[in-house]
Amino acid sequence: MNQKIYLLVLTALSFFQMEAQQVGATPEQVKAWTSQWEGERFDDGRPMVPDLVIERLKNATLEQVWGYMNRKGYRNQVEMGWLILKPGETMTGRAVTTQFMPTRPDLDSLVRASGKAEGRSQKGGINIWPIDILRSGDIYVADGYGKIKDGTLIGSSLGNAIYGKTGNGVVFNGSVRDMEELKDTEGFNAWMKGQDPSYIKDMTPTSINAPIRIGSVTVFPGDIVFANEYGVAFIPAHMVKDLVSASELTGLRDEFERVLLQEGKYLSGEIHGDWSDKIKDEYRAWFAKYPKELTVTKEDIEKYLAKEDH
Amino acid sequence: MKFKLLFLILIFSATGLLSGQSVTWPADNIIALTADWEGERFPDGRPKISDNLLERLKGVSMEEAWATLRKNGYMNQFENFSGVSENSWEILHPDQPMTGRAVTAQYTPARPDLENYVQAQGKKEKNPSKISNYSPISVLVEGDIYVADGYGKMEEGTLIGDNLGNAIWNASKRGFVFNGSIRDVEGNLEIEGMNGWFRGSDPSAIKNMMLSAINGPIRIGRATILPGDAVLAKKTGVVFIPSHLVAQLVISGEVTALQDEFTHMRINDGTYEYKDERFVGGWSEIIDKDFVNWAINKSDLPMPKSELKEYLDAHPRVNKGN
Repeated sequence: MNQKIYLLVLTALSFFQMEAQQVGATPEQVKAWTSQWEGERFDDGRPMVPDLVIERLKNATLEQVWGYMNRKGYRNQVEMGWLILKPGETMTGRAVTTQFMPTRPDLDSLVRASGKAEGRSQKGGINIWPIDILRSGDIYVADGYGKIKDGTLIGSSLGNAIYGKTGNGVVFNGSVRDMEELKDTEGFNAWMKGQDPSYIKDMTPTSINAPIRIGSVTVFPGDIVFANEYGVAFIPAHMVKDLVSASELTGLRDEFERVLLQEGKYLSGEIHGDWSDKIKDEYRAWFAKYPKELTVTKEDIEKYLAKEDH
Repeated sequence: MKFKLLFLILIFSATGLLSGQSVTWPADNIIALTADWEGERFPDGRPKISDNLLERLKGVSMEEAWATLRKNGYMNQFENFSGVSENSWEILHPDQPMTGRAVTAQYTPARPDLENYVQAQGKKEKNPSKISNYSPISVLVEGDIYVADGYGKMEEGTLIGDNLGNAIWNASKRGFVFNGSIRDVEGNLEIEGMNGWFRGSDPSAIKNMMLSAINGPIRIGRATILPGDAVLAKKTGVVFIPSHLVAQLVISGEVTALQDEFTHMRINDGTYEYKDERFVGGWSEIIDKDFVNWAINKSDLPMPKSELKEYLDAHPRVNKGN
């Protein structure tokens, strides 16, 4: 009798099974969290921030990124205190998030059963599930709750797999092993809290592509990661384009001011203060011949000059 | 059994549980999370461990709790935040153990888009007021312990002051366990009967952090906690016990304590020769008979005599040793 009821419910519920998942957030959930993003999305629901914007973001400074988000009310988006595989490089990309928790058999068996039902890999450890879904331009961001010994989320093999899929690297509130060998994978980089020769033990990935916490930051799936040797910022997808434009405008003005200062045609007060029409014209001419690709357009420059009163 | 698991997975599928779209996790999901519990449940889905067992749990030593959990494969249920000292919890009343059923809350660093989502979702779930650090307290019932992950934040991480402390006490008649801080320690100390385990105190008010989930799985340091876990909080630390293991853990802890008491007594009165941390000849039939006779005639047994007899029959102890 009981079984019959189960069967009926099973039939009823199997409609949902097609779309909905358990370990992995559904595209609908990801959309709900990132509802301010109005552009295109990947099929997993994450915002498809254009590659050019993500590439141009590399030119920003951590202060510019922090300042822009802070002005918009996002005051907890930068995390410091990293061990960096290759300091000196800047990495930007789209976050795929994963939450790890200390293993307990009841929760772990549920996660394994759910992952199986979601069609996730049944070979190797379940810590590879997030890596399986990575795509070009992604960054694998995981909360390993700062566990170092027995908390190594990847070694050199998985590091190579991640690089192969994303062309990027990882940001872990946790650790890696094989740091020496990982250094040899050109293009791959890692921001982590430590490294250890031990292998991962007693950890369960309880959610994939849900909001997670990396130290003092709440990170969403699809956040744009900005990582350099000074820190890591997690930028909500909906504000990246404007942030890049704003930091380009600031950067362009700084660069142009240096050009003027070296020429010595103007007093430094004229250069740093409100610009005269003459300087504005020089700026337009300088911008028109700017050699690199920018997200800032001529219209952005005109808008900037119209309200310019620095 | 397999059938049951499949059924639960489908419930998960329908509600998308582990990835956490809800603010307050629905009963169905909590039932699925705690599927090994076969007894009664509260309307919110949490296992209803009996008051009597929770009372007896107070007498179980941390080592006994740890041993039973370990035997069952649960390696990550204890936390004392040990650094240089054996226990780094701050405790309102360290000499008073506390037991109860966990109501869990997850806090996370604030970000406006998540705040918008949580408030909209909270309305959808028909919360009577705005989602705040009061929301988890509003669902407490007597016998509950408010367990929150405030990710160790001290300044502007104060999950309660003495007003909310009073609210916790009035609703739960127990207290709280926070990986985070509180304010108004003095005021909270005055709430008679309430106890609390926390990481530290700060005079600042809570800021730049937000509640993201009630009654989902949370982490307190090294331990993973599910809603309805039994909490055993003592001077030496806190252990979170899966509901389905509480009965077994309590009786086995109690019997081990009896065996220890008996052993100490017989060492002291010299009835049997004791050498190299054991009775010469091991725990023999004679010693065991003596023990059983002593135990079941004890006037201050923590458990019903019938439960003791049943347990002793089911768990032979005789071990001749070497």
